[in-house]
Amino acid sequence: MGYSLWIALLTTLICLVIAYPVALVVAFAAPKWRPLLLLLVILPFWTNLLVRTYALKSVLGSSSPLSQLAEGIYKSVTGSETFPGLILNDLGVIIGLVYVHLPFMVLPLYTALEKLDRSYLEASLDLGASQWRTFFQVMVPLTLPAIIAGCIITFIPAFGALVTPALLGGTDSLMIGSLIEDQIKRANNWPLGSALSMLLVYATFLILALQSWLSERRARRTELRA
Amino acid sequence: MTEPPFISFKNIVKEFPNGTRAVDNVSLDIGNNEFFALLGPSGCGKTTLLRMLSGLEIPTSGAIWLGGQDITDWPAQQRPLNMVFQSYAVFPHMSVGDNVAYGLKIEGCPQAERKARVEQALAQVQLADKIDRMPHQLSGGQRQRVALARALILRPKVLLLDEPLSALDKRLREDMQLGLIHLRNEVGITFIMVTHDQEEAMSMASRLAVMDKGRIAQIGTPKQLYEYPGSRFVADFLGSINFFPGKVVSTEGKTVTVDTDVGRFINEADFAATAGQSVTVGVRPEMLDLDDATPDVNRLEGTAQETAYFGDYNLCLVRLANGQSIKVFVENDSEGRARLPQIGQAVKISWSATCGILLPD
Ligand SMILES: Nc1ncnc2c1ncn2[C@@H]1O[C@H](COP(=O)(O)OP(=O)(O)OP(=O)(O)O)[C@@H](O)[C@H]1O
Ligand SMILES: [Mg+2]
Repeated sequence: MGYSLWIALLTTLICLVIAYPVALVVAFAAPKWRPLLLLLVILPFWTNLLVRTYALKSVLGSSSPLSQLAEGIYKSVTGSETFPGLILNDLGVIIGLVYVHLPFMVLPLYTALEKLDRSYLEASLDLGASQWRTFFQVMVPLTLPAIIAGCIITFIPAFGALVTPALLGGTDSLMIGSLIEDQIKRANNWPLGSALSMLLVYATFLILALQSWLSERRARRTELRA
Repeated sequence: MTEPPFISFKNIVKEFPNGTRAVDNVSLDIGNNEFFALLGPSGCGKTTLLRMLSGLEIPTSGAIWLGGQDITDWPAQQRPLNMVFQSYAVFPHMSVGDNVAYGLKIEGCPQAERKARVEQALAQVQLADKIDRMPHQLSGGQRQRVALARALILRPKVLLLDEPLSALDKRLREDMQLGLIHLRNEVGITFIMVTHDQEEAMSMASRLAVMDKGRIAQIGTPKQLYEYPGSRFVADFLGSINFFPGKVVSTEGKTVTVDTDVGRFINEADFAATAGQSVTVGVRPEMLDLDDATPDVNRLEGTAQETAYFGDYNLCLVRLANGQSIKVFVENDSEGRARLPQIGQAVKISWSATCGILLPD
């Protein structure tokens, strides 16, 4: 459970860091390029998850050029003799989960950025702010609801992911999804499997409750200032 | 040697990637401490010109000078001018006080001084009591004043205003017009205001430029532009006017005789007119007299087609024999009220040779 939480959190964070620039590029691209770029973002959805994960497995597998490149860099940087590999460990799980869930993060961010009134950004620049300052003090706060929404819809499926950790993880990368599967299918321990499933459901409810509480509190705070 | 102009646009061209030529070879000088207005119909390039001055848009060609320096390539952050946006762009996630303090924080102004200056800036726009409010709790007019305070607090050399009053109702608009004039006199810096409201431009600006399709049609004081427009476009854009196209018959000094579809008119010209030249006689509705007992040199006859009541004056539409409709303003004083014709009644219109505007085609 703790392990699942940790992996899902890390996945969400990495997704956010990658997705924000991607969403920015799409939202600020010339209008005629936008549909194409957006298509590239959602294209993976058209392929079955299992197929995509297997594809990723062969792209990142130990004999793939990508893996060999990573191995070379890893060995020369750390000086170590053994390379843990890109998949069949926690790294593989995270790479896989980030890859699968990236569109969930990009789409809400893109929508928010596209709707964002450019004059706020221009006003910030006009008042002397640098691009970075404008990003952190104007753009991020104004797209915060989308950031939160993106994080939640990335975190929840990543938390309960089954296929990706099973195929790309190591033998010890037991996320809660795989654990449930094991209990029900192999150990034939339905009560424990069900209990674990409910745990997942509760955790999801908890997150959603937290979000609504946060947004309500924000609304109330702005009212109180009156 | 004359001092170089404070702000100078030199042969500015702006073409957008989609091929729109929003600004087409504009050269314009603006002096220090002027209240300058850019006026023109929608889409004529006013906002684009202003944005190039603020650094938010880069000219395709040409140069912009400010205070003796070429600032064409300066980024917006470095330019000593601030803008009040058409949509105000007051940051919705910051309180009024934080909005106004935004620029000062970036400058690294110490806390104590910042607080004092924010309070002073808000007092200047009569919003001192709203410092802790969030923008969504303000009215449109108040939000606009926050934007104004936020820009003025940085003590810019020039304040740029893009249709600052267009979103306000008429009453508030008049208050804000007076407020802006007062503010400008107080802070003593150059104001450049974009508007498509000709009354607003004329009542507020010390000088204005009328733009048409990316070019400058005419520059001058409101009086110059209203009374001596250089083209039909400017004459038509600033106030109401009736046009009679025709040809010059003869000239005698400044006095020109013109033959038009509806009669022969005598008018003074401020350009050298030659016989046979195509010209247009323009007469503003307030210069026309209805049923005058001792009519002036230029006369027309028609029937009253419609009248409209505007409070301080009436508009009377008079239909001429050739079908053209003429606008006449009749003041709503005791005399004018008596003269206002019934619909369908035959009326005589007259004006003197000095009241018309003669425009070359
Ligand atoms: N980013 C842009 N890309 C392409 N064309 C643009 C862009 N911005 C403005 N234009 C075009 O340039 C022309 C001038 O626009 P501008 O906004 O300067 O007009 P304006 O005089 O301010 O009009 P309004 O009174 O409606 O605000 C218009 O035809 C407009 O469509
Ligand atoms: Mg505009």
